Amino acid sequence: MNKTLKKLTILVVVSLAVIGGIWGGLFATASAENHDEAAIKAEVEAAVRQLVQALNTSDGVLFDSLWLHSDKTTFIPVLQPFRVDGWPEVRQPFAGLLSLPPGAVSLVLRQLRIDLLGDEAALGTGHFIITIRPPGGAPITINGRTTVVLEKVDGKWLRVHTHGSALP
Amino acid sequence: MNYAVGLDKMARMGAFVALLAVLLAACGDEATAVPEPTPTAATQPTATTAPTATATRVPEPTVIPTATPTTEPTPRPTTNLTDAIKAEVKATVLQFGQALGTADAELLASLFLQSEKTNSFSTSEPLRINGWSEVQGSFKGLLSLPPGSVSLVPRQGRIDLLGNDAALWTGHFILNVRPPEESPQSVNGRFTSVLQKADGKWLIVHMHTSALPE
Repeated sequence: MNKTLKKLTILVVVSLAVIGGIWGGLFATASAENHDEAAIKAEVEAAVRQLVQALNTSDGVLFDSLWLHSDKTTFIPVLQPFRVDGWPEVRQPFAGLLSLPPGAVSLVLRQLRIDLLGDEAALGTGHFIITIRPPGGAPITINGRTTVVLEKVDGKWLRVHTHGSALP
Repeated sequence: MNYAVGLDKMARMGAFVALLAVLLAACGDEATAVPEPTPTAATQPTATTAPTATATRVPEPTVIPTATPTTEPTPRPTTNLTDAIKAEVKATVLQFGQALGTADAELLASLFLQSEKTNSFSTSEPLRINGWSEVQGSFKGLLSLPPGSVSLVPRQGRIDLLGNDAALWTGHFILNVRPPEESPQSVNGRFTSVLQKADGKWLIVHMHTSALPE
C-alpha cells in the first residue's frame, strides 16, 4: 500500500511537471507569435509613416523608394476622380507636392491602424490632415481618410495601392 | 488488496500517459523550431479550389539544386494559376453587388471576415468603421429596403493579388438606390476592397468607398 502511494505521488508530480511544461511551452509560443506580429506591424507602420516624411520634406528619392515600381501599383487620389494605374503614372499626381520647398507640405496621420494580411501583405488605414502652403498662395487644408496596401518584396514593405478621400 | 492492485494499474496507466504527453510535447517543440517550408505555386491552397482543368495545366516549377542558400522571394503563381485565383476573387466580389441588390443580409455576411480586424470607410460616414459588427451595421439601411431597390454597378474593376493570401479589388461604381415612395438617389464613386483568404475562402477585410471629388 505504501509502495502504491509512493508511485501515486511520483505520478502526480510527473504529471504536474508535464502539464506545466506543455502549458509553459504553449504560452511561450503564443508570446513569441504576438511579439513577431507586433514587430512586423511596427515595420509596416514605419513604411507608412516614411511617406509622410517624404512629402513633408519634399524628398522625391525617399518617396520613390517606398512604392512598388510596377504596373500593379495603383492610386485613387483625393482630388482626382479616377484611379491611376501603374508606377510611373502613380507618381505624377505627387509631382506637384514634391516640387514645393521642404516644409510647404504638412501631412499628419491620425488613428493609424495596421492589419496584417498573411505574411506578404499588410493594410494601413487612418485619417489625415494635409496642409499645403504654396509659395505666394493661400494655404489649403484637407481632412481625409486613407487606405494603404503594402506588399513585402525582397524583404521590404512597399506600397502597391493607396486610396485617399476627403471626409464626406 | 484489490483496491491496491487497482491503484497500481492506474499508476502504470498514468505513467504511460505522462510519457506520451512528454513525447508529444517534445514533438510540438521540434515542430515550432523548424522553419516552415517556403510555399510553392504547386502547393498553393488555391490550386485545390481552382477549376481542375486550369490547375492541371499549371506547369510544376523547376527546382534547381544549388549549394548556396538563396534569398529569392516566394515564387509567384504562374499566369494560369493567377487567372484562376483572380477568378475566385472576382466570384466573391461580384456577390457583393448581388447581396445588396437582393437585400440578402446572409449572403453579405458570408462575404466578410467576421472579425475585429475587419474595417471600412464609407461614402456617408466620416470616420473609420471598426470591427465586423459595426461594418455589418453600416449596411443595415440598404439591406432593409425591398429586394431590387439597390443596384450596384462596378466599373473598371481590377483585381491584383498580394502574395498568396490577399487580394485587392479596386474600381469605380454607380450605386442606385430607389427607396419606396421616395426619390431615387445615385452615387458615383471609387472603391477599394481588400480580401484575405481564410479557410480556403476569399473574404473582405476592408472596404473604402468614396464619392467622386467635385
